[in-house]
Amino acid sequence: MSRLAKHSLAGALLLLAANLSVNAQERPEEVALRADVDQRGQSESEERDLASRASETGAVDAAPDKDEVSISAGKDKSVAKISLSRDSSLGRLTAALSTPINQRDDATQFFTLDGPAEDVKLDLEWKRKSFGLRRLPKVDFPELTERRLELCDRFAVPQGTACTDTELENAMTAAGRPSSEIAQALDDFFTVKIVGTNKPVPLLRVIPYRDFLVGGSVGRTERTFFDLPDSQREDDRLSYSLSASYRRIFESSRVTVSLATQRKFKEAEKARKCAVVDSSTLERCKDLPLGEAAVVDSVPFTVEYRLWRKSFAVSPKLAYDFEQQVAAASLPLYLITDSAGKLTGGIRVDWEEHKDPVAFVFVSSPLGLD
Amino acid sequence: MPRVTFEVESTAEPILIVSTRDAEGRPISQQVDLRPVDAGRRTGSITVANRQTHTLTWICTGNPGTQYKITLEPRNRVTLRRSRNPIESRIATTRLMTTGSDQFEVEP
Repeated sequence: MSRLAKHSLAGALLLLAANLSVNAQERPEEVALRADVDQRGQSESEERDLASRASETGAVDAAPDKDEVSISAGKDKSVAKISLSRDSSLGRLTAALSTPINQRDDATQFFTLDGPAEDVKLDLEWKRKSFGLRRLPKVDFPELTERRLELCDRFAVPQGTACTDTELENAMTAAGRPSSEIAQALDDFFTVKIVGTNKPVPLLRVIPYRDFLVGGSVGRTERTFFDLPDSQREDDRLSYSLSASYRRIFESSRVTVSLATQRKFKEAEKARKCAVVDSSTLERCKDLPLGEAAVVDSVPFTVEYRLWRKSFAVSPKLAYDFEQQVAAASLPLYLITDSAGKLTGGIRVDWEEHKDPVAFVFVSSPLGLD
Repeated sequence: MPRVTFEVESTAEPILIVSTRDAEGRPISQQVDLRPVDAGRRTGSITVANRQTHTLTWICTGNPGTQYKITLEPRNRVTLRRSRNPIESRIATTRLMTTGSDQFEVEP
């Protein structure tokens, strides 16, 4: 980690000195993994951005809360997606089918009579969110309510307005109360007492909130390549991923631990084949990878911590790929907010074993729970 | 004994707890079993005693800034001490959860 700190500092200084690179992130919270980068065969700058996509359940992660057909614009390509969700007492099951938008025709086809589209991906995800209620009977909620209502009265939360942490903070801020007093009042607001003891305990420690997530995806991509001596061949082997995550939510922070296994394909270097156009000196050329795409397996284990503060947030993430035996880390610092006050950009430092750290300015979707 | 129905409208994940004290002053709490009605809407009911003060505590987890609305039905027979019915607020932009409390009584 000391090496990371040294390289991160160097990267940040380089960033300030010149060459601020601005990256638009589709999934900013996902950390770098070499295998993913290599598989995509991108340029160096693209690699650094794409390297963050350790998760293969992106389509489900971004799935809406209801059944929907949607089109999402991506950096590489726009994707059409059909997603279906079903809620039950056991959790939420979401299925999403996605394929790149057909830019030439009016309609994008997921399946035809000849089979699936050239590039199609099926995601399945089961998510169970739950509060831990084992200690619920021991919490003195009437005492908590009386104390909270007294706090809201004392700090002039308007009558008719809900007595919540948000409204209490708003009222105290509007009244010009010092931040230390606000912090103390909120601490009192978030603290409960256990029956039989007078010891104050944070509410989310007594009633913890966590979620479990199991996801998987299967993707099919038609790849065309040159085979020696010069024949053209096709390949549509399936890529897949399986992942499991556990998350614990606190007042202003979130911890996520996840393990995944995934198979992708890395296309070979391209070669060019040219043929003379009849009755001319012109040539028609075709560029395709030379040789079959290589299998890239990875088993990434990741730990991520997100922390919100008054005007910024950080979301450090550590990853280790047991298959490739490579470690990676990323440290996004969110500083820029949108018109709604949500954090949507800042500075990020990415580090990967055996490579130099990279610092860049990024813009992303609002930082949130997911 | 009257039945109170709670409806929560939000994309946040809510939990509602209704409490009172028994004859010996010990708290008795029950979680409202909220079931999804449709996207972003959940509902659940509990039976409470007439003209007795109950406390309602809620916790909602979700993205910073997420709004929520909690309606207690029948609205014409439920009286909240502080909030309007429906209760409306949001998660602060620096937090992933919000919590609040109020007291209510139900007329027979």
